[in-house]
Amino acid sequence: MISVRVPATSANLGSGYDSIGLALKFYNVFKVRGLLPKGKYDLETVGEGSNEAQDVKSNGVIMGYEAACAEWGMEAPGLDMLSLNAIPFCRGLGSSSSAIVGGVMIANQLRNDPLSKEELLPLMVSLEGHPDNVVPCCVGGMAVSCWDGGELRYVKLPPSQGEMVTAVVAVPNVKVPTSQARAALPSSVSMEDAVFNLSRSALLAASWSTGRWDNLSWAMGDRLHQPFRSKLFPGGEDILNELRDLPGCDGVAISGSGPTMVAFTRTNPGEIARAMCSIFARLGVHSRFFVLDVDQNGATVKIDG
Amino acid sequence: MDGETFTVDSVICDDDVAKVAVLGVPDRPGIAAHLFKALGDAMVPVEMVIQSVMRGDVNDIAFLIRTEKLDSAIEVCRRMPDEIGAQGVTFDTEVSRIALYGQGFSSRPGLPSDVFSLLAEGGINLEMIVATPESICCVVCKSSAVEALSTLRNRFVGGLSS
Repeated sequence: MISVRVPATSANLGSGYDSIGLALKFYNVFKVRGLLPKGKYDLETVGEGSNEAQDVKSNGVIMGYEAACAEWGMEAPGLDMLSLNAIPFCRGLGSSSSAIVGGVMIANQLRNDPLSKEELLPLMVSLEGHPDNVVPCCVGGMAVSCWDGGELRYVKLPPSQGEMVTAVVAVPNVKVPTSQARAALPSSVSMEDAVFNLSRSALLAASWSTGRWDNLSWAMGDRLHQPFRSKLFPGGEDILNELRDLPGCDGVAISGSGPTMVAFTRTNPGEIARAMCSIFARLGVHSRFFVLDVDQNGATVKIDG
Repeated sequence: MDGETFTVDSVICDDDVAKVAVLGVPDRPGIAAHLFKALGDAMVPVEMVIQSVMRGDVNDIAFLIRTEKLDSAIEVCRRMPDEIGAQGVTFDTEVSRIALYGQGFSSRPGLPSDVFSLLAEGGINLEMIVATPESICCVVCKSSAVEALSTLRNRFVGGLSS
C-alpha cells in the first residue's frame, strides 16, 4: 500500500502574494489500497470535502496522478484509494495543492526510477498554476518561489535556530469562491504600492530565516491583495486591524485567498485564537481554530506491505 | 417500554466549555491512553469523550474541556501530530453544552429523538451527543444555546412526563 501524507499550507503570506508560503502540521493522507484496470477508480473519502472528492472527474488527487502519468508516458492504472481529508476544503489552507502533490507523488511511486521532489515540483506547479502552496506542501517549511509559467526557482528557508513562532489559524464557517477572490484584485498597481510590497516581502524572507520575529508585523504588510480580499468575508478587515495591535501577536495575514486567517505568536496562542474567533463570532460567523507548528518535512511517502 | 414514566429534572446550559477534536488518530492500542495521560499530566480534565467509528484505520477523538484549561490543552494537543501521528487538532470555543438530567430515560426510547427533533425544528445543529440513562447532552453552537435551552425547558421541564 502507498500512503502519502501531505501538509496544509498558508500561502499568499502577507506581502508574499503568489510567492511565499508555509507548510503547517495539519495533514491529508492519501492511501492507495490497490491498483485497478486503467480508468477504473474506487474512491473512499473521509472528512473534509468528502462529497466533492467522490467525483473522479474533479478529484484533485486523480487529476494530479493522471497528469503525471501522461507527462511521463506511463499508463495510469486505476486506483483503489482512501482519502483521509483533514485540511478544510476551499478555505485557504491549500487543500487543492495537497491533492495535486499527493497525486503526483502516488504516480511517482509507480515509476521504475522515482524522481526527487525537486524534479517533481515543476510539474506540480504547472498543474496548480501558481507555486506558493505547492512548493512548501512538497518540501516543507517556508518557501519563496518564482515561476514564469515554465521554469521554477525556489528556496526553502532554513528554520530559525532560536525561538520559533507558532501559527494560529482561525477557520470561519463561510466560503469565498475563488472566482470572487480573483475578481477582487486590481489589474494594475502603483509604483508606490509595488515598492511597499517588495520591500516587505524581502523583509519577510530575511526575518523568517534569521528569527527576527519583531519584524513580522511590518513584513506582513501588503497592498496587493489583502486590502481587497479582506472585504469579501465577515471579519477579514477587523482581524487584520485588531490583531496587529494585540500584545503577543507578531503578525497577521489572510491565509491563501481566505477566508481563513493566520496569526503568529511566540507567547500565548490561546489568547490570539480567542481574539480571532470572537471577532468572527461578533459578526455572526462560527469559526474553529488550530494551533500549528511549522512542518519541515513536506509530503512524505510510506510503503506498507 | 415506550410510555413508561420518566422525569426530566433539569435542563442546563454550560457556556464555559471548548470542544477539542483530534483528527485521524491511528487505530492502535495505547493511542487514546497516550493522549489522555498527557492531558491528565497537564491537569486538564476532559468530558464527553467521543471516538468516531473507525474508517480507514483511523479514528477521530473529540472531547470537551473547561475554557479555563484551554491554554494547557493547546500545549498538549499540538504535539499529537508528532507523538501519535494524528492528522491535526481543532479547537472550538464558540460552543455550549445543553444537558437534560432526570430519571428513567432508558425507559423512553423515543426521548433522544424528541430532543433532537425539537432542536432541528429550530435549525440548531448538534456537534456532539452523549446519552446515558440519566442524561442527554448535546454540544451546539454558542449562538444557538439560548434558543436550545428555552425550547427544551418549555417542552420537558415541569414534572412527570410520559
